[in-house]
Amino acid sequence: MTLRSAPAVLVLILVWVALGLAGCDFREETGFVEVKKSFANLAAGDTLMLNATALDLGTRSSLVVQQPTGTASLQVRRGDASRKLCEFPVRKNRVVTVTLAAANGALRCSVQS
Amino acid sequence: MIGLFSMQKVPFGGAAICAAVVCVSLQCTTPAMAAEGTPAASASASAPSTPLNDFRNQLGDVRKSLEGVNARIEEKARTIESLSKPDAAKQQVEELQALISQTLSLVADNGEIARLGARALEYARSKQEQMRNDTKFTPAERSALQKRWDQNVAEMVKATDELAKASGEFAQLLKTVQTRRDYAAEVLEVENADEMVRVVRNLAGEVRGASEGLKLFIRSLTPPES
Repeated sequence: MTLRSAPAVLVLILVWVALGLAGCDFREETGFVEVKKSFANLAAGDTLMLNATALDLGTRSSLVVQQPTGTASLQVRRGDASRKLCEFPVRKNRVVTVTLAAANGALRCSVQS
Repeated sequence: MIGLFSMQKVPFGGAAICAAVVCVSLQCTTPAMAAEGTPAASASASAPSTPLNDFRNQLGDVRKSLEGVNARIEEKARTIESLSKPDAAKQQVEELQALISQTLSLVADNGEIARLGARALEYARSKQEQMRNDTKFTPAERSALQKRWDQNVAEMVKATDELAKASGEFAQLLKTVQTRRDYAAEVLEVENADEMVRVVRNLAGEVRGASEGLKLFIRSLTPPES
């Protein structure tokens, strides 16, 4: 390969890469997590976290959150410390329902997918 | 097989129409619409960029998507009910799941609409507060504006609550469809297992037949005196 043909080869490579990328589907596969609570309120200073997303149930008893597929975890965060409540799989185009209930002063979750 | 995929209990129209109605009602809660009653298109063309206008514009797109998707969901449900082959029905149910998911992503609590709705509500509340503390307008003007923003906030709260309800309904719908799909998959699996039993039984019969043939053959080889 001569130096003069190098730019042409580079252009060809770029076109090839561009065509390859155009054929890719970059949309992330997602599913949904329905979080239900059957208790009054979280303790003051506690935040419910779904992976890295803070969930604000407020006065509502449930909410629906779209999540990337894979393993998700629900935690309660207080300050810098966090406690994992449960882990569950999120599958493509499916809903997994996580019900939170208070038992013996602690939160427990049950998962139904 | 039809019973497997019967969708009578699924409130297809209910959830989608509810969401569409929510969107229509939300469109009327923006101050521009409530105050002037002008069509959305002309209002959005000239309206300045505020959280309320962003919310309204986004809702227009969602409403269009919902209208299209609702018809496609109902059509897909009808197709599934008429299918008798589990494989074909399974594929159709998967497509239906994808359609419902697409719609649910529009109204989910961490979706674009919910975020814009929260921002719009926050904005309306700040305007409500601003009017309460205003000293620029006459008492009559201030009172009129206050009343309008109070009404707007109340309607916005109601609308966002209805949006949340619609998202819950769509989640329920998706759950029903996915459970039907899981049931169909289980039926398919048990049918395959039954078929496997039949194959094994036939094979056993053939082996037994071959064994009898072999015994006869061996008997024919054995000398009569032994």
